[in-house]
Amino acid sequence: MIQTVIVITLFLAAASWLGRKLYLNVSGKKSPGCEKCAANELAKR
Amino acid sequence: MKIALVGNPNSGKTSVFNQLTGLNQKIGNFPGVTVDKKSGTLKRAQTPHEIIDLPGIYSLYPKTQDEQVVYDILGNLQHADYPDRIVVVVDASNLERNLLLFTQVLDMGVPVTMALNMTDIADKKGLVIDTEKLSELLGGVKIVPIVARTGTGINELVDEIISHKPNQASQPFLGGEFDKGQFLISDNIEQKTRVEKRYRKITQILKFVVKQKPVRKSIINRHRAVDRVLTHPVFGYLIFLGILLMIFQAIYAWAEWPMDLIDTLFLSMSKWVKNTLPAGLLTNLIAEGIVPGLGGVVIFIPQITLLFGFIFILEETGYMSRVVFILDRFMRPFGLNGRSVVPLISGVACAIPAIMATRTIDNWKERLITIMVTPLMSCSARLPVYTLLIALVVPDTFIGPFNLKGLVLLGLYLIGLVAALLIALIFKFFIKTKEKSFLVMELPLYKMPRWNNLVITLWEKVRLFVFDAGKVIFSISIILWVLASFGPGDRMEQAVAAIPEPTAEVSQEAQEEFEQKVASVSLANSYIGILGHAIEPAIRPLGYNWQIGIALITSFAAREVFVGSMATIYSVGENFDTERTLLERMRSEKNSLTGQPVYTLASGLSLMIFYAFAMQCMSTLAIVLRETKNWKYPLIQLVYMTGLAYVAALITYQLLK
Repeated sequence: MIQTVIVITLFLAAASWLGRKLYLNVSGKKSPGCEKCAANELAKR
Repeated sequence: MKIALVGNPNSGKTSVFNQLTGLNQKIGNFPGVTVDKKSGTLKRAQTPHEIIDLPGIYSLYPKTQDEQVVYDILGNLQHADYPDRIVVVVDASNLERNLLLFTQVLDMGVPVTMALNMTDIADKKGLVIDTEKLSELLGGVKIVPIVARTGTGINELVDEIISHKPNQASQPFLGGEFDKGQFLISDNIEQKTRVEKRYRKITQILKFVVKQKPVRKSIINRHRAVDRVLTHPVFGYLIFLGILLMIFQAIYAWAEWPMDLIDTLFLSMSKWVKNTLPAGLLTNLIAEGIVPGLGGVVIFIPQITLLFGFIFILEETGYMSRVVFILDRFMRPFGLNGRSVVPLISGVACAIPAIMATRTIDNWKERLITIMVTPLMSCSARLPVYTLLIALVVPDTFIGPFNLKGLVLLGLYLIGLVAALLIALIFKFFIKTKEKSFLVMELPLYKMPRWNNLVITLWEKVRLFVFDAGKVIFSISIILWVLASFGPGDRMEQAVAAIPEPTAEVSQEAQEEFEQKVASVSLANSYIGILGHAIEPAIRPLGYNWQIGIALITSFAAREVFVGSMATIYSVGENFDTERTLLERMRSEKNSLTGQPVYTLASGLSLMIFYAFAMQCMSTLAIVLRETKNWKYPLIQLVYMTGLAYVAALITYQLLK
């Protein structure tokens, strides 16, 4: 039973985290993750 | 206390930043603008000193977006990142050009220190710089000679920074351009006049400060002789191709054993979890979903490290500048100018910095074409997909001294470049421009790479790859596993019940075959199986089965998810006691209709071609939207790249099957 509850919680957390990440990326409210490496590349120039 | 690092491109600013901060670095965003903030904590300092590495610029008057970022920060006292002190990194071997920016910063009224970098290269060129005289002529500003690549003079620079001396010139260099952190001149013509006035004054100063001593011509001559070969109209391209060939051969040859080791390690972890933890849903999720999914990321660390390592060495030695130079000539007929070369080459690592690097292209139409084709260059996220599929379908044979697998990998990178050029040619007819752009660049002297910089760079790249991709893959593994383990109603149970159970006295092989059939039927009737079967008709002509269809869907937002998804799909219901690695499980996969292997040379190459061309990166689309400020362009990119991928993959499969 406890294992089932943990799995359901993990599933919901993963789905909402991914959904939020996607929304923030598309809406432009947050930088895509890879921009971190972009900052490095630009700093070199 | 905030300290800004300012300097010309190629002045060694990043090396100074790495020397000052070591691994105490973090990367975020400047408030109000898109990106571009790299900061770190000063080593050895008792109190916190935040070092901010600003983009490399030539002047404080903004002509490109990089310069705009610096202009916005330094021209606004209220800006959250306005510095308490500025360290200007000045290239001693190009003093005249670098002093333009330095004198502009000096006139802003913020305490400033000059880090006179590359004094070793200036010495090789026979330049003798009287730093005391230079300091005196600049109004008494502090100058610290350094060689950032070796760390020479860094301790003195740190002492200077933490001394908190005012370090301000007694009088402005020119005056009248800045007041209390504000820029007073916005008119372009007036700015140009001011720049010319500065240069005249700088030239006068340099007459007193810099002496040219006789140099051993042999050093310069040696560099020129190497350049004559490396930038030769024929040999230059052949050498570049040869270097690429060696890199991809090495990626295959050197990464093989650590990859096998990691694959076996994660298999053992799954087995251990399954055998040790109490039986139940969570144990299955960890053993069949999370561990294989994460293994799908970690297994590619050796190859990613090698790829970035080689790129770093090519950049640090100065060879990459020669590549840009020779490719400029090659790309012009395709409507791409020299400035497009840097973004395209950067695209081999990641399309996002590459697209941001197009900010240096002044001509909007040329910039747009470069943005539109850059994602066709094979980025590092495609490498895991390529290597998995090559290992699966390409025979381990040699053509002369070259491994066929390495050659196929090189071919995939070249096909991306060819496609980018051809698509640029097509865009050239739709997007017309009368402006002409030229590439003006310095060819730096050849030098040995700094190995500590290599370690820092690789650590940062691998860390970002593992954690950024890892978080997404971890989440997708959980979702995939749940969708692959459950189905609507009792559909899965009914399908499994229809399989005839083996009698008690059957062999172990027959028992294992039965277990595999149960796992396969369960998966086919799960939520993910139903979804996969729904899209199967669209992808069957490309040679793919529904499992590949699932991986295509999950990797639509980020292509590196493909391998993790395959690992999860092929682990659900797996009996880990048989100790089959992911490759072995995929190799044994049979087509349910024909009974033939799913992963053949035809279907494997078709899949690789699909990944080479398809736009499967949400972050790239987001950055294209942000850079073009128009939904039309990412949409066109998504449609043309996906269409191209489908047609090319279809042709590949139909020709080879």
